[in-house]
Amino acid sequence: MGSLSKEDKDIILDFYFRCGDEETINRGRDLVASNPEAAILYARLEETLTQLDSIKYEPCPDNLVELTVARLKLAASSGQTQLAALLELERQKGEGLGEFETEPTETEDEDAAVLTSSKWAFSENFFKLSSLAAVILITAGIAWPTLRNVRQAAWRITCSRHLNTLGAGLVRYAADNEDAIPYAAGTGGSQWARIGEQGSITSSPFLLLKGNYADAEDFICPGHSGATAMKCGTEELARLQDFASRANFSYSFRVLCENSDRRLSVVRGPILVDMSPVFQPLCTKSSAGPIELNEDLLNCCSNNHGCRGQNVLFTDGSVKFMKVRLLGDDDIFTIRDVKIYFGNESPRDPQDIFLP
Amino acid sequence: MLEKYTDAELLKRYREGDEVAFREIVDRYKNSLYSFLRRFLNRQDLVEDVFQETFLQLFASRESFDVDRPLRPWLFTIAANKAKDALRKMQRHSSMSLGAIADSGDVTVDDVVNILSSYKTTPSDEVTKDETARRVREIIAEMPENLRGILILAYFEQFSYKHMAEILSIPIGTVKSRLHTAVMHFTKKWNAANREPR
Repeated sequence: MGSLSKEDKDIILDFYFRCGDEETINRGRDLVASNPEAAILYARLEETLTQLDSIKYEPCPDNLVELTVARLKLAASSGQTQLAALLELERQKGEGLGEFETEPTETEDEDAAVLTSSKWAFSENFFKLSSLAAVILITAGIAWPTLRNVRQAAWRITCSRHLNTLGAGLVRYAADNEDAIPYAAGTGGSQWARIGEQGSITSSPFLLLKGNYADAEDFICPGHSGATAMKCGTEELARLQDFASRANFSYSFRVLCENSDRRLSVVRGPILVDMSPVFQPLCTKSSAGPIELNEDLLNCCSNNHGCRGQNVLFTDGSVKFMKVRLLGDDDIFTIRDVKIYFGNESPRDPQDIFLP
Repeated sequence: MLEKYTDAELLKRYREGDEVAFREIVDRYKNSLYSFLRRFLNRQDLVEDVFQETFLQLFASRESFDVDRPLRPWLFTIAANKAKDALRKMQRHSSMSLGAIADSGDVTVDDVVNILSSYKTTPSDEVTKDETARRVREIIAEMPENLRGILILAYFEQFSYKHMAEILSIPIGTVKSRLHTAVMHFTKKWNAANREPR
């Protein structure tokens, strides 16, 4: 490239990218045509960068266009206030990446999170959440088929309300049972994956249904595909030890260390979360082999909300939407340093939160 | 019917209440904006969010928008800014590395030429198209954000230096040196991925 000046080289790059003005591009074209070294440089640029073309062009999906246009129509019909609200919602969504979406509580410091009944302002929360859900649902009703994001937001809010209700049930349960959280014997080292049996992952929260601390519908997240509220009479319920299937319970309940203190006022951190994306094969197929964690299983969020995050009920009564599954450096869906799961594991460290 | 209208005319019509005009604007730019975001963000949820936010921003600015200003660079400016914000927010709250901002101050066109001359950049015949695409996607995804942005705008969208400077809010000189750095970065990484020094 000895005969090419710095300016020549610049011109050839400008010509290759067609980024310069017309005159420069024409000069580049002439240079490449007349100077072998310029032609070689151009060919090398092409040889290298043409690899970029292997990334296939992807046209915009129609549903994204429809959703965008529907949102714009909605914004136009509802005036600036609605638009401001939408933009604010988007802003909060962005800021909430990896953080919690609901209002922060005074108990962000998990160590300070000690459950007291007074902190559970359920009536107030219920009213606020219901009002918000109503506003969002009415909005979604205007263009339901295309407003996927709005619908998902409504589902998240309904799900959050259900977790609030389950939280209220937990408090009442604890108040009736010497501060104990629901615990079906054997939860620790037993087969928590065997739904329908005592000691399964769902048999502990089932005690809330059995004891009439919550309704069957409260255990269902609207985003959980295929979920159905359990239907059975009082007598049958009294005989049962667990939900009939995983479809009756859209959430994951915390598995504590064996022999750990199970008082609600002592347990800290998450207690219920949208269903784990990791262990469902173990819970739904009796023939499923052990689950070995891989990159996908370690990175996905709950399927209940389109893998975009999960609602989490904390023992301080707050419900928060987490867009990641890490609390600090702790993955709430797995046990630290355990890669293969047979469905009977429990954490060894009380600080290691595990909601399978 | 509206295809013959210019962007300015469509914006004027939309300002006067013609919703179909806005739909035409969306149709006109949906594919280039979407493909830019797909390449830049590489995460479908972020792509969809930023895509919608970009057009919502246009809606919000419809009264104040100067219709004589070229629309395409304006849309890409909004999309690029929102995409960068989305990446930074994700980076703040995620342990995964999304690529730092690369310093492009010291790279000259001579450096680019030297790098291009040093490596064989065509993959061997055994490498399939899918494998080539996977390697390229990986390199692009791991590129520092500012280099990835400039390479996509220059190579795929073929914006002029002037428009890239507007979109990225940087001087034209910086656009050039950043593009040189991006070409060098890609060439080095591509060579490393193929491990066949010339």
